[in-house]
Amino acid sequence: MSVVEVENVTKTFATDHSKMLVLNNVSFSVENDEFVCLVGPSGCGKSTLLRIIAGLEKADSGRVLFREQPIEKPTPKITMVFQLFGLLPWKTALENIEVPLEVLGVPRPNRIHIAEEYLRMVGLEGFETTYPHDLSGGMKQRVGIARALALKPDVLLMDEPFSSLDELTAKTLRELVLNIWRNPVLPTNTFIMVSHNVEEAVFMADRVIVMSRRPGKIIGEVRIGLPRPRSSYLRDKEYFRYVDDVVALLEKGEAATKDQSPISLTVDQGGEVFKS
Amino acid sequence: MGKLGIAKATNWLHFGRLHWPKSFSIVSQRLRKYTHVERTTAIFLVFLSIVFVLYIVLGHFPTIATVSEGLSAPPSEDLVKLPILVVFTMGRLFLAYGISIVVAIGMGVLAAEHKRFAAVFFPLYDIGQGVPILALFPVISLWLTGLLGNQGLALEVTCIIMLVLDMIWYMFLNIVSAVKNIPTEINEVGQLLGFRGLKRITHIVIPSILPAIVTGSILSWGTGWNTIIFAEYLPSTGSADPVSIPGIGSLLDKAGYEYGNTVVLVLMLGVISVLVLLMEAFIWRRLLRKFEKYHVEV
Ligand SMILES: Nc1ncnc2c1ncn2[C@@H]1O[C@H](COP(=O)(O)OP(=O)(O)OP(=O)(O)O)[C@@H](O)[C@H]1O
Ligand SMILES: [Mg+2]
Repeated sequence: MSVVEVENVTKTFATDHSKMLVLNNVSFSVENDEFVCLVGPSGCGKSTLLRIIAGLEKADSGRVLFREQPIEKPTPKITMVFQLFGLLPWKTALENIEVPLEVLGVPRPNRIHIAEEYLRMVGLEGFETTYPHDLSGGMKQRVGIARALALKPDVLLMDEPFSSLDELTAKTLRELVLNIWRNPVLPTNTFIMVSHNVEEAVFMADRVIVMSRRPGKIIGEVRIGLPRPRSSYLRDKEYFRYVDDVVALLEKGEAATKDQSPISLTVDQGGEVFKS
Repeated sequence: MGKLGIAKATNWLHFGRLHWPKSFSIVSQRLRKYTHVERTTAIFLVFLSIVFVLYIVLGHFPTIATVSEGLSAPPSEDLVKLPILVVFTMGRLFLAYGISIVVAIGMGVLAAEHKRFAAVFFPLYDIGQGVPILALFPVISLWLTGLLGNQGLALEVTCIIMLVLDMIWYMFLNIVSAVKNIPTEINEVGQLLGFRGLKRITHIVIPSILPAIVTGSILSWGTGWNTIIFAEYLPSTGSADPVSIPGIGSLLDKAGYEYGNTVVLVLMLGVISVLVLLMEAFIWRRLLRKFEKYHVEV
């Protein structure tokens, strides 16, 4: 059964004098237990799509279903991890996790216990009373992940969660996220992640969905058949073949929109996509 | 001890890392770079200008004789009550500030988030800022005297009302713009995590605007001092004697208008300056430093 179904979503933003079509008839669905990555050029509407799934933004037409129910507003069943962490600077690490539980009406002793547990899970034991200001980027994102998971959502949305971190930290956090995804004790098992980084997407996802330049629409998807855990496959031919497949789709999307936009997309050897 | 003790003490008092208002910090930075001779010269020049100001005010150079003369002439007999006068004045200011901040937060948040409230509060703000508050003093005090039947009490209440009407606007304006400038990221996180109603106000809105509340408060206290000096001392319309309520403001006025006692006047100005600087050092700067961490990285 599909957990999330995106059906013919179209979204336009009104700028000063004109309307800008950002998402053009986007449809896809995500199964239970699936890890899906969305990749696409900058500004193609990935974040907008994620915000529509989260219920933060309304689609102009089309709809998003969560377990067959339309999503109208944010629900604790679908939470989000932000690129810039989205922590409340005036709350300690523990409070950042605890306060959303307060909103849900969890009694105080329970929520403190839950918050401590999740903080421990992301490896931040001992940082309970530290404010975000005094945490490193990687630690902040750990708190962001713990906060999202403590709500026990079914679906976790992540908007470029590692792109503001250095590569070493990002690598550690990717493993952490994959461990969480595989952890059978946690109820959160459907992950949708936006990424700029094709290699990252191939490393993490069951399925990589490729979007075109704005107005974003879905060009195609690549099912990643690599066995898990995948760290041992990072130098494998097969791994790079998947990377190439995704890049090929991105280039196809670029070719399709080329006549509209003179900006070209280049792909470096690593497979990361840059705007030139 | 010695040097080390002083360093520790200044550190403890947070004078060491104290950010004075810009002009002050520039002066202190300069002073730190000066050599011993230069520093002495600078201090001497400051001393000289103080003497010069006193000379202008007094009409002649202040001597020990003039100072002690001033300290023995009326209203210097009130000086023994100085601590209690400080308590009275500060009490009024704090009470008015407390009322102002609560009302300003309520009005400011409503005005920033709802057009309908803005349509009512902004005209009020224009009137409140535009009308000279002190002109209302006799009207309100006469009305309250009739209502309360006790002139002292009526004056106290009038004084508080004046102060509130005066102090509220800086905070209101700062709060409105701060609420409007809450980063979308923070608002979105709040929305996503389900903060609504009072929970949103206490966990998201108020913490976001705390730095603005502090800057608004500093401005409010500035104008509050101005107002209280006059509000404590009302050249009354009815009787021949001016009526006043006990406080440093009224003592200052008495020294100035009633007795022409410049020594007491300058002394009271000194007391007020010290109070203002203490509040700056112990309250505002500390809060600002604390709230610096609340800045959202975007
Ligand atoms: N609230 C908004 N109002 C107007 N325009 C918007 C709004 N949000 C996004 N846009 C525009 O919509 C387009 C898509 O934005 P979006 O953030 O979804 O892209 P993205 O694919 O996430 O880009 P990036 O890879 O840079 O994060 C951009 O051109 C952006 O300027
Ligand atoms: Mg984005």
